[in-house]
Amino acid sequence: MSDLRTRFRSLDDLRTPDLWSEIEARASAAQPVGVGRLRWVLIGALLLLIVALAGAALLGSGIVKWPVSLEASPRPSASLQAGLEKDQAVVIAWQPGPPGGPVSFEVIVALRNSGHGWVRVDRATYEILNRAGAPITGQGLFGPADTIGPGQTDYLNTGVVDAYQTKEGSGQPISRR
Amino acid sequence: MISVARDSAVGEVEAVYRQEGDRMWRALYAYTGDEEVAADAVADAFAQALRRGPAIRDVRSWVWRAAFRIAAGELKRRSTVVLGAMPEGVAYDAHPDTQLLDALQRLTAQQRAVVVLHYYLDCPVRDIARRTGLNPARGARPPQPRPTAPACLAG
Repeated sequence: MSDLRTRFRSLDDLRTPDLWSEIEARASAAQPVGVGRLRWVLIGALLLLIVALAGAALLGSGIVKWPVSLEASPRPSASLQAGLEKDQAVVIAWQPGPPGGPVSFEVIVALRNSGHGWVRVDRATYEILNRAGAPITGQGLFGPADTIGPGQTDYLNTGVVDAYQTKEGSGQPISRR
Repeated sequence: MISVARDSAVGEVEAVYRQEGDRMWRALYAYTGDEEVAADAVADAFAQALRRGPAIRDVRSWVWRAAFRIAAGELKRRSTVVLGAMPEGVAYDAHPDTQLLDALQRLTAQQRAVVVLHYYLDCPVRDIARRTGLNPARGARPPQPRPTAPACLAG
């Protein structure tokens, strides 16, 4: 064993590199956070904590309130007709010109949502028919909203100018296609 | 105050390097069989000691342990090529006793560490684990150590 130790001693004959400059370079390459910088980090964290605590105190005291968000009902029903009731149409007719000339109609239909969810109003599914069931050319259906909430009523209305069906202008019901 | 303590720590680290650096490099060279790995481990261990500054109580023990762990990590990284042995193609031109280094190459990394620490640095086996983090019980166990603790790992 002493022979082995002697042989290991031969390692002492090896020339070794001077690594101190390399050590200093590596040490300075990744210096830890300085005390001054650390101080500012702590100050920033403290300020954030104070702001958070103040905000929590204001909210807790009721001085500041979160914005009230209404809970949305389930998504609008896919079908227009679900829970939707259509009232009798109100038709207002007048003849702006001389007798025998074109008659103008204003058709108003109330749509009441008697269901529990929102319903989408698709105006394209409505048109106005005369007594014979023939469509009366309108100027489109208008309403204040595309959807009707539960228990709410919306109105569809349209204006019609009809030169040939003046006698049928009054009291025409609106019908679904 | 902090600056003074840091300067003092730097001075201590440099003093330990001047005293132990050469032997540490040679021990790591015998352990790894690679001059560059040995130099890298020494430089990295002392650089980390410099960065930690006064946080290290016993610089000498700390750098020895760190250097061997760094070298062991590097050997482990390289062991994807050759498991448990020194990398192939290692040249021993720097050391004339190629027979000794060849014999070391046939040992596992842990066995090499124990043998080098014990026979070159005269470290008692019971201190090898404590000082280096390596477990001699899992490696080669050389004959019982001499009663006196070597200076290399004292601390």
